[in-house]
Amino acid sequence: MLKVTLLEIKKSRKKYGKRFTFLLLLLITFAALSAIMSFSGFKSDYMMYTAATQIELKDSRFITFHAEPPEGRETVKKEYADVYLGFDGTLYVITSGSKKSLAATEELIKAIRSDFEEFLYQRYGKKAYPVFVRAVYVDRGHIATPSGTVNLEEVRKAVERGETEVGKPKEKSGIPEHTPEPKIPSGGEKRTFDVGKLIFGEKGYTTPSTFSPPSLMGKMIYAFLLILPSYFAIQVYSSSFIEDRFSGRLVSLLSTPLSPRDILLGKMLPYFLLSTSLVLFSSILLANPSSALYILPPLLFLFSIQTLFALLSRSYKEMTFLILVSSLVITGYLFIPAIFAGTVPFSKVSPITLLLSNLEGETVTLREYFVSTLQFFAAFIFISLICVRALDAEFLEYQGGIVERFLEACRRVVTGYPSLIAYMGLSIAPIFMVEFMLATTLFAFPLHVSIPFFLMTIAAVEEFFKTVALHSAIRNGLEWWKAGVVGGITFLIFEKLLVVVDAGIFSNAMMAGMLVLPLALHVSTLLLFSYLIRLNPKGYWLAYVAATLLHFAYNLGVVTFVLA
Amino acid sequence: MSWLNVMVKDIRSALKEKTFVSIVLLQLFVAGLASIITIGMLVLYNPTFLAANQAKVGLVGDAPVLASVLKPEKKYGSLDEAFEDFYAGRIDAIVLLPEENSSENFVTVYLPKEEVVAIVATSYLREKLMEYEAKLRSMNGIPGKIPIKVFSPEMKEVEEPNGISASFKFIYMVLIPLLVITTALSAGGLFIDLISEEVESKTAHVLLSTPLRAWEIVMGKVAAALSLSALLTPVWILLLMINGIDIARPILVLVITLSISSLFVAVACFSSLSGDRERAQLIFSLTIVSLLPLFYISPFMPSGLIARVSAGSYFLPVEISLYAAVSAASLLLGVKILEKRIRDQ
Repeated sequence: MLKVTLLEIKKSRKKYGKRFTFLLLLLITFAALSAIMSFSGFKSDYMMYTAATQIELKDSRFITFHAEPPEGRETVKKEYADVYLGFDGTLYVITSGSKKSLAATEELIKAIRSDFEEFLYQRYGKKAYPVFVRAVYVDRGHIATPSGTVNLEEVRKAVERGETEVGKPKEKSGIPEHTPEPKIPSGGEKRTFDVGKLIFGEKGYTTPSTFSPPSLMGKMIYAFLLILPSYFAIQVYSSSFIEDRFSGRLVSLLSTPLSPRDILLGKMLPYFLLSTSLVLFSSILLANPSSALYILPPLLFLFSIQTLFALLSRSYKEMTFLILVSSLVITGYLFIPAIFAGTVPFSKVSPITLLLSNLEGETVTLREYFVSTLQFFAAFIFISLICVRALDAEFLEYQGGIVERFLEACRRVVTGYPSLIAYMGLSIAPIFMVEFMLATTLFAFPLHVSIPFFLMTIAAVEEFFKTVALHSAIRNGLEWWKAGVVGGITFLIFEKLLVVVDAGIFSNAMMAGMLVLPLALHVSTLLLFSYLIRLNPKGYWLAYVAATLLHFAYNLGVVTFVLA
Repeated sequence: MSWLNVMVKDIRSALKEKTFVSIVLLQLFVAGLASIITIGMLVLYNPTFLAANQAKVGLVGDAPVLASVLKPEKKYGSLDEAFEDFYAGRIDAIVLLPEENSSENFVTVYLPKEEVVAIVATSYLREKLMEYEAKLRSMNGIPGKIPIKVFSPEMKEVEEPNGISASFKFIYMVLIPLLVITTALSAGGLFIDLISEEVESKTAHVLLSTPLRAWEIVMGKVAAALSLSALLTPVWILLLMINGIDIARPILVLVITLSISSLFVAVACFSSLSGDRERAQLIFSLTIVSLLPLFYISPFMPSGLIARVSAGSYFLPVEISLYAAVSAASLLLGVKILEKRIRDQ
């Protein structure tokens, strides 16, 4: 394996000479400078709205012109202006009711209120702020927990200590033990008026208008800094891999005594070490070396998926776009749950959420870490196994579309009942991840379109993974009905295991409570598929569509029943 | 055979290999991800979006003014009593104010951790505590809050909008610019792959042995990449429109997308000078990552312009012309240099 690693390093050194490395360093510096410049804030809302006004308005978001009330009403009605701001003893805003006009109205009112707060602060100072508020988040488990099991004394003590979180061990709290004295900034300080934030930053108290749910979005940039440089290392790896495939170097390596596993791991190792070093370097810069633990499992998964695409693609452009789509989906899977950190339990499905909590000083339990990273490790093993089996000269020469190539690769994996069971078990991880991300499409269309679309796509995804295994099993001589029954039962068992592992993150109402119906579903779709394949061994697509439609009908039935 | 033939050949192969489908999927995911982020932000910062702005609140402490505003589910004599109901799920939040006074009140709110109800309770309490603040201000002779009324053009009073500006800004200032960028990114990436495939498989030499000239090969690839942008843009504009998002000037959005795509293809031309696909894609990715933050830092940069044009806001035609001119010039320069390199090889 190390021989392949050394060869890969030698090839890279030859390719990335001093001049090219200098160019890369220049580009990295440019990227860093550009990122620093963006910290000054996004300014895309400049001149976004038009306001007709009776009184003076200075705001870079609004293009303004003077108009008296009757004229102002007309300009809004004819949509020459998005809003009209008038004064008849009371301030009033006229809106046409269009989305843009309503957005302009909201922004205008916010700006006026902000000005008013500034006026209050300048005129009355501290007296204008008689209320300060802070939140303490208490872990009460599930609502159904009997109150008798709660140690109220412990809660009371924790609350008295001023902890902002109660219910699980906390290493230390930065909150002072006594009620803090709010500190108002001195007059010379430049501010855009946000007393609450200033106080919040120092003492944990805020004014009512800035009181909001907990959010770790401010820390999101650190997670990006940790993971983004590795994307480039992985990109170079997959480019090098596909180049070796097309240039015939992979076939040459396969003709040596080296095993496919050694070749694969040997090629991956230098880039993985580079990625790990980049992540560790960024973690140390953040003074939190443990951050790397949350990033490495997704990186492993990215390495495996890009290897698979490099093996399946027929051309560079096919690989480029498969990688772009998959990278975007994986990034979404990592970062979107983190937006909801601290507010909804499913946010913990992503290790980035845990990373952000960790950066915030919260304790992350081993179980939480295990749950959030399990699918990455499982998917890495699943995909790597397929890649290792596909790494032979015959497969590399195989002509066919991407799905045909995937079927051919899986034929080398599912050769008997043990491998069928292992495939079904490990495939749950990528299926779960794809389905989780498909849920985002629910919000891309109106719900009456997106719900059936979602139900159809989850049926298509599950049946794809299941039928590929069964197709391979039948091609390798397993009896069609036995393979269908074993495959269906195994899939259900692992599906339920995932629910058990993820308990607490997802509601199990839809899945764990139901056993007989899903079992009937998974077995019957596979029996239907394998029966059709038995009739027509080359009719994969027809059999797959039939199984998917049966699954979709089931999904639709369950949702209709649940909604009813 | 001319550059048009090269373009048609490349588009056909992209369609055959489902590259086009991958890119549409890419756009769909960008839209899906942006939508869920918008919803996340709306839920976090404006929970009335959940259509549940009522929460059951328990009050602990001697605070008559707060009680009059809050109208709590129940008043408790001690925190312990309140926690019993809180853990049993009978109340969603506890508000603690040991003793009320007119100048400084430090309110502690106990909320359930990692439960959606906490978001709803936070929103509800924010409104109530703002009301409480205004009431105490009035009692101290300080104006409570500034009254602002909202009317329709027919002067009928309407409800004050809440939460719309966040999604509006996200759609026009983040999502649409992102879709333009991913379209341009796809064009640039496709161009590098088309050129690399030709050069690395030595088919470029075969093509050069025909009457086809080097610039026609490069122009064919450029045209194929830009055609992809021209095909993709109407697809995502249509998807947005189906989803109820107005694009005020679709033709101009297409013109800007093609300009940005030309700029990215020009970057791809320069990146392709590095010799092979691996290095070209790396330089291209790093350059685009460097450019992206700059797109958002000034109102006159692409993101701001795209936002204004697509939302039907004010813009100067010279802004669009300038981008088109700069992109065309960069592209011509890139094509010229790359063509010379291919000819010399």
